[in-house]
Amino acid sequence: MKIGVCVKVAPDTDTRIKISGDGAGIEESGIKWIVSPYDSFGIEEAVQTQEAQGGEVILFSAGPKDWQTQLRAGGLAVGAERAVIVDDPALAGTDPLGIARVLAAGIASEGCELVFTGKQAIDDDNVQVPAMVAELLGWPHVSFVTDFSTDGSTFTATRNVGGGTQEVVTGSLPVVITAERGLNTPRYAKLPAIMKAKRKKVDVKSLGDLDLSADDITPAVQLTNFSLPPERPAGRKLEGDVDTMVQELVRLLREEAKVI
Amino acid sequence: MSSIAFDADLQDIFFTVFEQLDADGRLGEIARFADFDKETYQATVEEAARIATEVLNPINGPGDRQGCKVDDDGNVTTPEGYAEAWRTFSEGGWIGMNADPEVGGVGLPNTIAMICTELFSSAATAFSMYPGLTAGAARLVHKFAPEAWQLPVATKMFTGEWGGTMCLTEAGAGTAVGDNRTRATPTDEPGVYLLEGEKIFISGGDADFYDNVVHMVLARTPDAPSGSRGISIFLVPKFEFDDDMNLGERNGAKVVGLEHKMGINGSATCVLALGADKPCKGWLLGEEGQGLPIMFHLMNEARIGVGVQGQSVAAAAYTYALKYAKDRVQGASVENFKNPDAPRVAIIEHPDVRRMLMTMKVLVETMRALLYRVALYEDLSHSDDLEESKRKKLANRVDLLVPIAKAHCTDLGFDVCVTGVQVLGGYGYINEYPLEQLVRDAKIMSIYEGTNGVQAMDLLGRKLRMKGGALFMEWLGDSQKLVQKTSGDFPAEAEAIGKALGHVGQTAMHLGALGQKGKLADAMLQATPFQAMMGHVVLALEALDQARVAKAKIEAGEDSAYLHGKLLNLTFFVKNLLPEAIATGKAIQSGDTSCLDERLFA
Repeated sequence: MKIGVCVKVAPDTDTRIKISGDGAGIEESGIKWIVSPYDSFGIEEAVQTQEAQGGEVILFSAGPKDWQTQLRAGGLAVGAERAVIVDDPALAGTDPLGIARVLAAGIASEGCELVFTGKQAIDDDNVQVPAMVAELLGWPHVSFVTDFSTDGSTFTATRNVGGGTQEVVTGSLPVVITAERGLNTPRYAKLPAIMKAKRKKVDVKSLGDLDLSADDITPAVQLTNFSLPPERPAGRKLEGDVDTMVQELVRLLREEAKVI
Repeated sequence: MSSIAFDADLQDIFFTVFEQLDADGRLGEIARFADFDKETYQATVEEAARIATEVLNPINGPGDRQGCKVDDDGNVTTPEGYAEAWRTFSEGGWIGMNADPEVGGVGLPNTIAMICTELFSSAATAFSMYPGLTAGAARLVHKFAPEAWQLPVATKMFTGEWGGTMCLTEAGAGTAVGDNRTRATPTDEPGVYLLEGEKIFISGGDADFYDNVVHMVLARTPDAPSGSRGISIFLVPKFEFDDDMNLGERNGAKVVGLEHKMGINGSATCVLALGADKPCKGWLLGEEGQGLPIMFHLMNEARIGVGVQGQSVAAAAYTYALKYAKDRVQGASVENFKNPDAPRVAIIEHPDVRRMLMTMKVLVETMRALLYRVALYEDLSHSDDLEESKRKKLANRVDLLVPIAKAHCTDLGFDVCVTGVQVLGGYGYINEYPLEQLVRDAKIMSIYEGTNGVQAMDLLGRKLRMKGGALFMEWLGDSQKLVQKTSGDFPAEAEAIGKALGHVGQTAMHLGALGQKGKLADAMLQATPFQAMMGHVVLALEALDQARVAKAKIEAGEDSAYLHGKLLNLTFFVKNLLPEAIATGKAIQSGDTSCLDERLFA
């Protein structure tokens, strides 16, 4: 079974984001790039499935070919067999649907039967691409999955639906599964595997290689402006006797914070 | 639960190893490292940093408070989480990272392995002793054990199925290792001896996370000459084993007690009884009388390793203190100190805190550069791909710098941890924060693996005189070349360091003259001050070299606060720390011998 994993490379979780001069993006210099952590859960689940069922784990990314550094360290060194990166100038301005078209075309070209990915990327938090990939492939998808098993033809996936309730979904492959925290614990790369990852194959493809053109990924959505969240206002200290302070607190909670 | 997150300074690590030392370029010329490249090295170090942060650091504080236990059968229980960490280490191949692939190793250069070791030790010094000692013992097994065992036993150790220790010290033989009294009596079986005696201060002497432990034990055979020439070295397992590595009977080497220590409490420091309640078999390594020469194969590695420990705790202390100082709000800025309503500021804005942090930063970063340089030279000096004359010169430089790497980096490592406590104030003194543990863990490093006093005597009495002083003269010459090369970019700083080099040379001549006049005690009295003086100049040279690289990058358009920090390091070192070296040189040359007056301490 060929198992695909869609992987995005994103700034490390503790990066202090700075807005770029034109306001339409972020400053990229000095950022440490990592495999988006939810995608790491997807990679681990794919590798565990491959270990149980056999087959091959292939990583798919739509982004600059430089991402192969992170794909090697965070994917090929922990059990994925090879990677496909679609790097094309037209990708720079595209939107989630454009990315989904590229990933779906890659997955279709390899004949995967099962795809894992993170529930969302940690940079733009759009939560769009996985469902779109499934739709474009004509597959079902199960999102925010915390437990997964498959016998190679059917699967069972557990997802949290809020309020402590869990939903168990069963179905047949193919399917797109998006990983929530708790699905598994990603393994550490072993030293020999880090060495081996260097020799694993990373195919860098253009849109044309997948029979796509820039027109196919014309964005419907454009990012025009970025701004940082407003700074948290300073705290306020209430004064007076207890009754006065309580009354003032209740008034503030009702009239200013509007929480009661 | 430590209240400040552990952080690995990968930016400085990568700058030092790749930009300053061009390690990937220089190692790339060596055939046995041809399989590796910068990207692999980087991925390796990043994974080590992840393990240090996620696996090791969380067990460091609890392990310190919990400590180790030993039962009546001599089995040690290590703190919670150690077994799991050992499993991660073993399965990941980290114990044998620089070992030969024929014994389960990965064959990484020492330079890269040292960086990983720095990260592991920085996150959890006590835990890191177990893999470090196991790897050291495994290297001796690989080279000197009975032939049938060399590969399989070393493999067991490098892959973490078995552990290893070094057993040198006895109650009456510490620094003076030649005074060893443990007896080894030959049996009818060739190469097999029965050992009797007691070893103390055995780091990582036993653990509950491996199947067997192999001790490397120094002992004296019957009729052996007295002193160090009469000492042999034996492989003494906890459980005997056959040639297929199947475990057999329990051997008579037994942990009979644990020391209660100031620090590194997660590392079991054992008293090991040999042949007390049952016979203790030992297998001779090499030949009789070769104990110390064999042990000395590990000497440079072990001493550099302890130097790395010193730097690593300093690096941890610095990153903790820096984070704390940025977050902790206390007091108004000094400009507003008379205004009670002035806004409160983070303590990093207070000049005295900045001075402490800068001192920590510059020492941590220059020690890192020195240690990586020594490791790189060690790698290059063992490579057949280099001309013999170059190899010899590099090996000479390693020999010269080892006592400084060990003594100066552990003395300063401790000092930096103490300064870290000071930055945190009261919170540095309580165990809710990780600084006080670092101070306690750091103190042992100036004591074990040859006390720093012994290192200083090795530098002054041996290394400076080796090959007619050639090691020292080569170092002076190369250092002067760096000074000349940088005098255009940093005229004042280069000149100051050049003068300091002159002082080191004069001071060495002064001490050499005392030696020639037979005034050995007068000369050795100054061994530690001389080592500290030369050590500071060695670090100043690293600050100069780093500034050289940073300036070139800035001029090429790559400006950043980080690179600018390297220029400030140089200025700060030259103006604030280098004068200590000059003053020490003057004190040494004053010729004062009041310490040696017989009426003192009478």
